[in-house]
Amino acid sequence: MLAIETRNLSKIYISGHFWNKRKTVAFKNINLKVKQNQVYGLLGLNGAGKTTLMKILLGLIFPTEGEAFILGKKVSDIEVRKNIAYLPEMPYFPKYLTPLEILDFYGRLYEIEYKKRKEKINTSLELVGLYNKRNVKLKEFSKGMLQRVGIAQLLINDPKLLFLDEPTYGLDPLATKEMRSIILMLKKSGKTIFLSSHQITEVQQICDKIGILHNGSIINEEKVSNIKGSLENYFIKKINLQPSTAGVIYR
Amino acid sequence: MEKKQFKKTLAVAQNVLNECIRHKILNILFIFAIAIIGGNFIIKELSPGAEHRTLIDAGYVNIEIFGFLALLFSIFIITYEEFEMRNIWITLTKPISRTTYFLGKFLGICLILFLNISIMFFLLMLLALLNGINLNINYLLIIASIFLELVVAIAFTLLFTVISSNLITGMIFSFFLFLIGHLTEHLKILINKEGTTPILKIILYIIYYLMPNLSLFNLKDKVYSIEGLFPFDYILKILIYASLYSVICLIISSLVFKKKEI
Repeated sequence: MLAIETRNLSKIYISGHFWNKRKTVAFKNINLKVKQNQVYGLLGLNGAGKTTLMKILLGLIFPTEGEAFILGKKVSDIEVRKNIAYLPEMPYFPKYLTPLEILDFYGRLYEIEYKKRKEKINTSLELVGLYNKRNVKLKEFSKGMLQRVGIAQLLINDPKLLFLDEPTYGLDPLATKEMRSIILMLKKSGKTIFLSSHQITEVQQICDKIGILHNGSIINEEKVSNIKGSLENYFIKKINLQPSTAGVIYR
Repeated sequence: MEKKQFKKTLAVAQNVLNECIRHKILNILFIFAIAIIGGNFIIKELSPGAEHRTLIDAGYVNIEIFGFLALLFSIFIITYEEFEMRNIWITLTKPISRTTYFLGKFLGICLILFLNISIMFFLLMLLALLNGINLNINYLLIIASIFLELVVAIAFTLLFTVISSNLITGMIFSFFLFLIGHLTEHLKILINKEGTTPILKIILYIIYYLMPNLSLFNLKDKVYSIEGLFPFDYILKILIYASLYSVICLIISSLVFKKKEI
């Protein structure tokens, strides 16, 4: 069973009024296959559609055409979400709640029993180094600390598949290093990770396989171990080979 | 509703309640307290002989206004954090259906409203007792009808926040609907007026049945024209009306929210 599978997935945004409709193609006919226990890195320029693709896989937005499956089930199936977790780019949480409260809330949504939930929350908070700050309101947290809360919420349900959207965005070098080691730890524990990032060096250090989303399609997929030299050069070479048409607005 | 879904609804409701309380929504009660206690002194000066009735009337009007403001602020805060700050992204990737989430949000705001109204009512009754006013069960029924009216307002405000692309627009629509809702009865006068054309009558009827009839919940004006308790069938009627109107609004909101791209 594949961790992620998409079949001819397309997303076209329609804006404007009915007499002056505009269509913006985010991507077209994406056929993606991500195996279990794999760390898959989705690369692409700004506005390439990485977040859009991730949001479709998470059921936050809907495809214009095609289908998407997570762990063998349609993304619209709520049961699927028991086995996944998501960390958005710059996660935001209700600022007047504490890490303990927000994690407890998420734990209740996962239907985790009180005793087990408490255990899981404590373990997650200890892992991200926020146990001592568990009762501090989130409004007092820095960007890096909020990112750690984001990681803690990833671990509550012991997910099989993790979606990480720009996990190191806006973090200082130390926090970036910490984040990388947590992702590597998750990888070691056999989790499947679907990650999108601009930090190419980081992707090279973490991922097993990469896919390049450009011009509205996956133009290249390759195992990281097969890439000779730097991934950055590889990426630039692949991108330059493609004329840019993604995001073109037409009527 | 399944037990699991109910538990999740409660989790969302509790979260909404916590957030609203921490955002100091209840601070609105201080303004209410100042308005009602300060107003008490003015009333004594301005309406000699009718100060008891004026105190109660003004108290209920204040509860209605401040209750509406509290629900408007609560919905604004929660929806702003959900969509503008995007904290709904993480929540909706958890195993919870959008309908359950929406119901939880509705329930949470009803709870914050209940808390607000209960405290305001307690303050008003305390002031009434201090002024030597004889209280009876009708005063409790009046506050219950205000609560029902504001539950309807929560339902249509949530509907507006879901269907409008802009949160402020949704709030403005809700504010105007709340105002118009108190004038719906006047439409009947227009409908029955001689000279109203059949087409206009149809249009007015459509508006009459679409708009919430909030004047139905106005028991405070009726309290002086009845002897004994409010008739049970009238209380039942407004209870059914509030439930039906709220459920219809929630069903439409939930259907729109299910399809909404987040």
